[in-house]
Amino acid sequence: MLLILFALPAFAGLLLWLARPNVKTSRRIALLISGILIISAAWLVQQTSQGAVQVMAFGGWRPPYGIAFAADALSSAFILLQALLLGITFLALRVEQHGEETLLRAHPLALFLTSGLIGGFLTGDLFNLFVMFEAVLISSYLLLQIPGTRRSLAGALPVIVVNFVASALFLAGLGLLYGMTGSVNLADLSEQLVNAPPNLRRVALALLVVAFGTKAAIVPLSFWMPASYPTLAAPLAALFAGIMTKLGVYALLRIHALISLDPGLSEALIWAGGASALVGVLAALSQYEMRRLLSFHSVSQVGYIVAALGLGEPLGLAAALFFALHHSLVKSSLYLVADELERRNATRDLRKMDFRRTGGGLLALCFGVAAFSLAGLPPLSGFFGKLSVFRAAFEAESFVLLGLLLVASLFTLASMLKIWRFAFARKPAPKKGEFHTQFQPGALGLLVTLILVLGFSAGPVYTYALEAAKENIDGSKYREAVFNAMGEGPIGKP
Amino acid sequence: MLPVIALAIFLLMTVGVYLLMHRSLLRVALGLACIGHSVNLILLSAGRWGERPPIVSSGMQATDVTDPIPQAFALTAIVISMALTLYLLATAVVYSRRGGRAELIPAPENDGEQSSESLSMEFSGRGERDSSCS
Repeated sequence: MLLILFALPAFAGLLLWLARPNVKTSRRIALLISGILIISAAWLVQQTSQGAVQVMAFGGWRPPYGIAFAADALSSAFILLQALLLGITFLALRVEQHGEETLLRAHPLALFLTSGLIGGFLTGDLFNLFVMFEAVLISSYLLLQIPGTRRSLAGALPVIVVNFVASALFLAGLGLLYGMTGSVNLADLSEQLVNAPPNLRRVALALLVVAFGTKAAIVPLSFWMPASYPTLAAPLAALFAGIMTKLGVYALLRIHALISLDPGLSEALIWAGGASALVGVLAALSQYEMRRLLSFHSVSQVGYIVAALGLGEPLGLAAALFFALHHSLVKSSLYLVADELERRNATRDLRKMDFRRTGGGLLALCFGVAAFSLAGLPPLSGFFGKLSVFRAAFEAESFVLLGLLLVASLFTLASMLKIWRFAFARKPAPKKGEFHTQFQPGALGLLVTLILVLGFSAGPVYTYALEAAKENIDGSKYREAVFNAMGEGPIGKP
Repeated sequence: MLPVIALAIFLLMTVGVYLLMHRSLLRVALGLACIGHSVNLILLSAGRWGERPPIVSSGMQATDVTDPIPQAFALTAIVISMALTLYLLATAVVYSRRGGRAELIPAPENDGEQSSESLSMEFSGRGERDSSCS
């Protein structure tokens, strides 16, 4: 089952890439695959929600020697999120609006991307995680080039360079860890590293944290991201904003047991998170290009997640997971709104937008729900996300962080109002004319419904996140499941 | 052996970072390659610089030979970094074919100098493209 989740999108992507069917067939196949993925991911969530861990060891090698895929509650939550976002992106990519060529290029590449992401969420092996990161990155470089303009080339280059360096640091940290312990299996590492020399351990883990922090785009490692997302073909930006930074967040969550061996690193994460939250939102507030504004917002929101993660304890990790889920949905829907606004107004610049072109009604409603959820107004998902982060900060008695996050929250609301003021609000209009304001909610409507559902079922989802967090900190079930992947028996140790 | 390797790692990393500071894409690509190789040496060092290849015959201890697993890691990393370097160079070629210089420059903010017609073409997926960059 775990193998299907990983291999199905890869093979489907390969098929679409080589066969190059016409655009309708391609879209149907892509939607079908994402449907299957959503169902299997939901099944996986249901299987693992009781604390069971699904494991699959490859090639007859017993972990920690062989590579194993392992899905616990944390992994399956992210996999379900990715499957949902993939389906929504495919729905949002429409021939009439985005052109045939964009769709034909985007379908196989997005499937490759998904395969890499799901592999990354599943793998229990640090080196395998590196390979999955690269699979994700290479697909993302190609996706960035889809518009084929000079602008998209300029946007893709910083991503390639920065991520290459981050991957190199990841690899260096991994090499040091292997040198210390002789293992790259995550379950094994968490046991072996306890007795490792603390200084060397700190260097190795710091390299990993910097690498994952770059992928998650936290200040001061974030500046490649706002440069690139605005150049993507529009609905793909929704997919990227929703999930790409979350791979970094997921990796940090996965190695949290290792990070927490070194209190200095957790401290660094807390302050990097707090700084991201504030710097990101201030940068966002000064932008007039809608998608750039939203990208800076991602930096800010990831700051909340990383700060919660740094606080540790089940409360902090649960808050990080819940906030990550909420932020993916909300940010994706805001990017879809941005796509509509840009196409209707034929500009990227908020100042040139016109409320008559934008139209009101459903689009405004969708934007309103997403924006208020991002700002954290009850009863939307953002309120519960922020509440859980604030609670974690309060329990950890980290009042400075709490203050930073509260101020950032206020500016978030301000920047959403800025979009509203320029794009939706009525202004004195000098010229008259007929405007086409028909809007079919489609994918965006679906996403906004998901936000509302997450808001109203915040209780159960938070309980799930809390269970996942406790399990992640305890780690005994995960270790046991991974080591017994090939049946009961003594575990060979080097 | 180890001090020599440490020096090599240091030199490659330094050269790589220096080259990375340039705007020219060619130099950046070379810099990335240097950084990649410096990290490969770190990986290899994780598996001891033994005198013998990792083929264990009778009467030998496992600690007498180098550890083969980091070598496999390094091999994978070399392949990946080669692919990325190639991709970066291909991008540089496309860039210069379009009359631009192969340099790292930021994408223009807001609309840049695009007209609203060309923007609406681009948003509907009918913007100008270059077939050589697919």
